[in-house]
Amino acid sequence: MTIWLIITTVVCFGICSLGLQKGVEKITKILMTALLALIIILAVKSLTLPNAGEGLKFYLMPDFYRMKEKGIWETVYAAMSQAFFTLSIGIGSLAIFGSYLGKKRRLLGESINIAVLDTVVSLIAGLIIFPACFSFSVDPGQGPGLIFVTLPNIFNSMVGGRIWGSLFFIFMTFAAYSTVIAVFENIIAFGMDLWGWSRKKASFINTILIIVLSIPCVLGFNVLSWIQPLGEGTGILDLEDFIISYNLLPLGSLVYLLFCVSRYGWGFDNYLKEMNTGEGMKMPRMLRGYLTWVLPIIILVVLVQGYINLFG
Amino acid sequence: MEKREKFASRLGFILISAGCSIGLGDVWRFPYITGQYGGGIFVLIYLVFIFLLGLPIITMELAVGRASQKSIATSFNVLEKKGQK
Repeated sequence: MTIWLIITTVVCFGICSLGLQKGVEKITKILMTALLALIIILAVKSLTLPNAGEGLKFYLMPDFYRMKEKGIWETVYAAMSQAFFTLSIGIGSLAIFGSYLGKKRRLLGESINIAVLDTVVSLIAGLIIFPACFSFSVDPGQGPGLIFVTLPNIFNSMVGGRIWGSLFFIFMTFAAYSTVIAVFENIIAFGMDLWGWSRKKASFINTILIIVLSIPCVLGFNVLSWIQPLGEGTGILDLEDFIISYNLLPLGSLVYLLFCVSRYGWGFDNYLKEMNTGEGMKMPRMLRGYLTWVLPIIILVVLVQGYINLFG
Repeated sequence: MEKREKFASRLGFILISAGCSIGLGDVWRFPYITGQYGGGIFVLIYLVFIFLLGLPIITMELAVGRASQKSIATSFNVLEKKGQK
């Protein structure tokens, strides 16, 4: 595991150190296009399996009875936290790309593109999983193991399953790499902005830092498995996941939000002016009430409910 | 200080930003949570929150980033000073 950690870190920082256009932009473009093509092929394959219709029905037909079974509020909360998690908002990873962006287009349209693309990938991932689940009688509600335990079995029982399986896990790696590259780019820019390092220097220093700082997480699965910070059976990864998912994402989002709408920060007028610089879809001023009063409360609810779920 | 780099193309920007948010959250977490919370109805609520909750925050991150031309390390300071002048 340590070796894979080092390979991933070095490769991704290597890409970042080549620079924005030559490294990050070029590689991500290739990765993303390959990834989109791959998931569409897999979805088509999955949809043509026997009994795929049952899976589609489960996946796309809203069933209020099932929601009551699970609890209405629990379902709503799960949807809200998934929205945070999937977009990884609030930790400045989109802000960094905003800072490399020209002033030609208005930001609302660009934001919609990002949200839609992310959602489309999620939805296609579902189109791959659920028809296959029902076709091979796998319980779709089994939890985090769903893709790791089930899919290899499913692939095994398919003609040419090894190829489909490898393709899928390559796709998973792509998805993870593109996120890692974005986060590293952010860390590198941090060093460049704050201490005026060159891109090469920032990349080098951070490669070493990240490898050293990631070691406890890896050791948490073996040597340090006696550390169980969040109760029986949890590891160091769970603690780090808790810090990010339950705290940094909502809190960071709240910081960005309040900074944009409050006059103690940047102020709504400045935010609106920046949003509407350029051409494209315009951000309407009438959303101010919603953004200033309703949205912060929703985020606070997500934050508090997360704590209740974990410690309550 | 050297000039800040820019994206070569609009497509590059969108793919990169989407690529940053597309990750294990989509491929691994989304299907299993959907499975646990009853399928279609969860998908529907999730779509609503992407636009109610996710989209505004995306616009804010991009706005702060673009206006300040800085990473999260210094962007808030840069903008606050501008606002108070």
